Amino acid sequence: MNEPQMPSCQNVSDALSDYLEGYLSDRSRISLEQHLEMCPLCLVYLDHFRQIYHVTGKPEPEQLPEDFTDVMGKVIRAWREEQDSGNQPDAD
Amino acid sequence: MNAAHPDDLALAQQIGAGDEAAAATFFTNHGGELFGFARKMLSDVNAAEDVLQEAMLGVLRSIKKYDGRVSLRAWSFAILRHKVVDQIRKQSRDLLVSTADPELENYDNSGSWNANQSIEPWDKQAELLDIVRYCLEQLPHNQREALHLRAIEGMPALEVAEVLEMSYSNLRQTLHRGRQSVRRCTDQHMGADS
Ligand SMILES: [Zn+2]
Repeated sequence: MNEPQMPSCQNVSDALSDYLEGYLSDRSRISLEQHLEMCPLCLVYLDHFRQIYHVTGKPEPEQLPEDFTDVMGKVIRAWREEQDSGNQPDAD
Repeated sequence: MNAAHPDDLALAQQIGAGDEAAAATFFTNHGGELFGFARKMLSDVNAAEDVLQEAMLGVLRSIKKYDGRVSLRAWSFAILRHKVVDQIRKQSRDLLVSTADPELENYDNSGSWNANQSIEPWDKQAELLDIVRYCLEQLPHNQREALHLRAIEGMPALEVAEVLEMSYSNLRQTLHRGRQSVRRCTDQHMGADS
């Protein structure tokens, strides 16, 4: 029998993104969950981590700058003028 | 021709041929998310507006080099990201990069939590969002830009990796360290009396 080694708290912490995203193999997931059952600190850590994962991953509403249409018009005109004059500065 | 994004390539060729309306439509569709990223990275609205303007001009100037390998959206984000970095350097701010495990000192030699380590459930849920926003600003640059890009609606991780010019596995690691760092910072502020 090939008994999987119980992961340490550090291994658990390192694997939590993979765990939440379903990237762990069944075997790794099961041993991680066995660790969580026996380790109250890691269980709370998982709860923290899950909240951070969701809050930082949530898209925020986007807004254009107020004068976006004017600015964009200026940018496009400036670009056309560069092209017409044939001296296009190198981008980056 | 074997572009992964043939529609974007066609659009770029249209813009490159001088179609101003096509350019305007593209920028109007993506200007908000580009601006949002710049604002989060620079935390100064005026600087973010300048950078957005420079990035739009940069996109137009190099539009003929676009080859459709990545989406035009990700390609534009990559140009913006370089402008953001230039701006941060202009302000003489450091671009701190970290790959370290933020919890390292909290483990003992066997990788278990230190005996004196306490991890308590968070009880100030109402303040969570503000604390997380603050903690995101404290992150090393590489983790901050990765987390902000990853949170953009409909931006797949593979595209984020392209924008950041890093491998997919490196991105996953960077995101994970970023989340760990935010958790740790949030925990410290949740515990603080206020
Ligand atoms: Zn543990």
